[in-house]
Amino acid sequence: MKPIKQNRFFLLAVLVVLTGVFALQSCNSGNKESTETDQLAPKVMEKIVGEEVAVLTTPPMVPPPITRKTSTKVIVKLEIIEKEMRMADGVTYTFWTYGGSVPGKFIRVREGDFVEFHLENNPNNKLPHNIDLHAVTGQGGGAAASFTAPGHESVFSFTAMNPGLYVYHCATAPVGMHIANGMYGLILVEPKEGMTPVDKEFYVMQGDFYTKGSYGESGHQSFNMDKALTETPDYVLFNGSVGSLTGDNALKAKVGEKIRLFVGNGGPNLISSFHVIGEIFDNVYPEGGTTLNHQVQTTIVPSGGSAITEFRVDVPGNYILVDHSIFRTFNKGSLGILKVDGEGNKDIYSGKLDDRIYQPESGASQSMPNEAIPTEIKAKNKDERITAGKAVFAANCQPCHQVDGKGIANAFPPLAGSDYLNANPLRALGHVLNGFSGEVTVNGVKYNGVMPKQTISDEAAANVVTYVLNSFGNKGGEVKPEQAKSARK
Amino acid sequence: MVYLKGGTYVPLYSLDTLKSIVKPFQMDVYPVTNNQYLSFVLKNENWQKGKAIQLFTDSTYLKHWATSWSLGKDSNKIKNAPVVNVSWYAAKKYCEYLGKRLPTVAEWEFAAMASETKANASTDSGFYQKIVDWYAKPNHNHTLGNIGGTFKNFYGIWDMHGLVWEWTQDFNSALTSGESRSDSSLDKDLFCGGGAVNAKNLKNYAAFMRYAMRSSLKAKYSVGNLGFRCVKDVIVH
Amino acid sequence: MKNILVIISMILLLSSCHSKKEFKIPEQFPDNSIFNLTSEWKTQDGRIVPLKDFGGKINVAAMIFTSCRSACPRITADIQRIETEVQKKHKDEVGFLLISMDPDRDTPEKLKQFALDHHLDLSRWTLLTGNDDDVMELANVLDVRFKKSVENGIDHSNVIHVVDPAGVIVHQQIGLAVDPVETLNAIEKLYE
Repeated sequence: MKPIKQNRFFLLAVLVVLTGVFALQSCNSGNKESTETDQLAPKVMEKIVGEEVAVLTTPPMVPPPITRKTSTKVIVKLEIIEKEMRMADGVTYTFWTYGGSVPGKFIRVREGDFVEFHLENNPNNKLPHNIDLHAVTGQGGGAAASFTAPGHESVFSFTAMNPGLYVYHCATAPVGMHIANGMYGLILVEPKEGMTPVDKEFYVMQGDFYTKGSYGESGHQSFNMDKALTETPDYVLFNGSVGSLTGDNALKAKVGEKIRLFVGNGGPNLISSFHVIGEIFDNVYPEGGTTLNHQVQTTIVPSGGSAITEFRVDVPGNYILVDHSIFRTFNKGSLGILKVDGEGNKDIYSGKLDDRIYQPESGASQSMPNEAIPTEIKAKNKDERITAGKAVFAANCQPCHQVDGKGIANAFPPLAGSDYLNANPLRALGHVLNGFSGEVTVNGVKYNGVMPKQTISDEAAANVVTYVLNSFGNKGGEVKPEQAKSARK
Repeated sequence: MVYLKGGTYVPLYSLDTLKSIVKPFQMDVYPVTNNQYLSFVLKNENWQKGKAIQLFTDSTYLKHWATSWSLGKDSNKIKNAPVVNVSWYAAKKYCEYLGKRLPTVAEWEFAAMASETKANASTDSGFYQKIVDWYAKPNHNHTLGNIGGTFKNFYGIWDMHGLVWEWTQDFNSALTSGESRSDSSLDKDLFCGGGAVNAKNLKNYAAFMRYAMRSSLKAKYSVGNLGFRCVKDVIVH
Repeated sequence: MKNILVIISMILLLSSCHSKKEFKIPEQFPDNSIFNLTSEWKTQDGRIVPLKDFGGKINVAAMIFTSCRSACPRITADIQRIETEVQKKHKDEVGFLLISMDPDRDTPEKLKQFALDHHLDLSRWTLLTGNDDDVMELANVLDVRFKKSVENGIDHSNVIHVVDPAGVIVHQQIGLAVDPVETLNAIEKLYE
């Protein structure tokens, strides 16, 4: 027993000396935390108490926070389903999904949990699949262990050792195609001490899609390998479809609530510059790790990576979620809305206070070169025109004017019951084809923005204006392609 | 059966630049149908649903059949559709019973290179995009079509693409671990001698998908869209 | 303290001297027994044997080919490591099988030479070769994947199987230089 005592004494001595060294250092290092633990030290495995089946949720919902104070065995059952779903209005695509949605189901476990993972490949599926969870420490993140033929199930287990927000995805050849078809999702490993309570949590994940037809082209679209190889997507989407987070699907909150967004990016190719128009992220955990950053406007979400953003919503309005590589938002679909209701606060945000004439020296307006218009099916009557116009609207107008045509206050004027539109449909047609900028009063409210010219065919322009005239409580009517032709400047 | 005079075929994964030599062989014009398979099991009780042993079949063997000896009320709908939910052992025994055998991967791929008009359409991106489109579509909500429903290729063989996956004799030569990213440098501890096996045609996604499918299988598996056809050696006098 | 240690070691000694366990060969092999395969194989001595002749005792088996320079000698070494442990407790009770996946080249003479080179005790070890078709079938039963590659090599998965006396695979050790503790446990379990 004697030598042990000596050791103890020695340890004590070392500790005393070390403490002295730290104390000295902390005098010099200003605000640097001296208590930082060694991240590379071996992880202590917790005792596993009990067993439970994980609650999985479909985006944008997130499973409830974990209140347990102990580690447990968590059983996760995730089914792979290949299925045709809506990608945009009038556009369908065969997605390969984890749990029937894109992105796949959200998984939430606690640091130290022992996860027993069941990957089930639906018998009607055509292909083998697997899963690589970035939260897994071990070869392939579970990829080889979970490789599963249609109509079979694989089981493997892992301990969630590192807290953070992690992407999971398919890693079966051809990997790029499996990811491009929507095979990704998020798994949150909550730190042992839990996360600060918030009022609302949402799940948003970006992905880029490569279709045979270009953006908005209606019908069933198949995967286009060449576009994927050259990294030129037709669609860049939040939660797998155009409009997944707008209109009735918009995220909803009330003034004063604390919001937490679990943001992921499945790729396969693009890096996201995630931004919420009109908000500043009070907190960001960049790349889904544990470092805390504050006062962030735009945060990078790498392909195969994530970020956690938190903010309090102080004033009502529609806050627009975008990839600030902005053409993706306005031309490829990466647009969502967080709709905040409640009392306004003019001290925080006034809205427009004054409105004056400003005469710049040269009035260069935006102009885009004319592009070759592909041949398309001509509408034979007004009804066909309205039907075709709806798809054009969804692809081109909806991001700003909204699915219900009501526009966005202070930014984009309403088309619904619009006196400006109904007074002169041909003027509106001109705006579609030539663009418009400057002040305009619609239903008694002044707007002063820029509408870029839409590079669409005469046929499409006629169709979309006809659609709008016959929707949203407008007075009806029809516009012909010939009128569009003569309205072009 | 159709006679193929053989030739060369470049495997998707191979170290050598040498092509595989495919000797002359004969191949079934169509995949084996439910009806044909039914007459086989009626004469080979060991292979009936419920009687075939676990070593050779899993619990979903012929699950789409009503009983061990009949196709059931859907008989008219499925009798001319390719038989699926059969294991490798079962497919092999069927072919052997008829004096035939399962095609090798090389033979199958050689025959599958042919489009309607060309013996070798392996560089025709339109051709394999069409195949990829079929692979990408799940089977939900529709039954398998009858044989002869897709296209007849250059050799006069039907349904090589667009109907079902097919068993091959050496399907287990697909050595992916399911972790396709590491397959360019197979782990020596898992796979002996597997140096850099680089895929030959990175753009041939259709071939990658067939390769992945084969490597996900075990010989006793039954899969709802996996059938087979037989081949026969050509005896040269 | 010392006394307790002595007692424990005596118990251990006694238990390791237990009598040899007799396993019965069932009249009909279970559904998932590898002895349902009817193929016949040639041993290193040129004897023709059906697989089921290996029934009635525990076997540790692996597929190899003798001209393999990297993994196969290591698999053999891994099995020898298992053999050393097994011999301590169950002397000469467990069989060791190496089955060639390269029947064209692995003649009985080659197999015999391989056994000599690796100091395999042929009272416990048997090396088998067969025809291509049967090799393929057995490989599928054992979940072994293999493929001919350059320079007459064969890429293959490395798996060591524990087969119970009725021919059922009760454990697979996957990969090389794996700690054999689980494999040994699987063998011990059969003695319970």
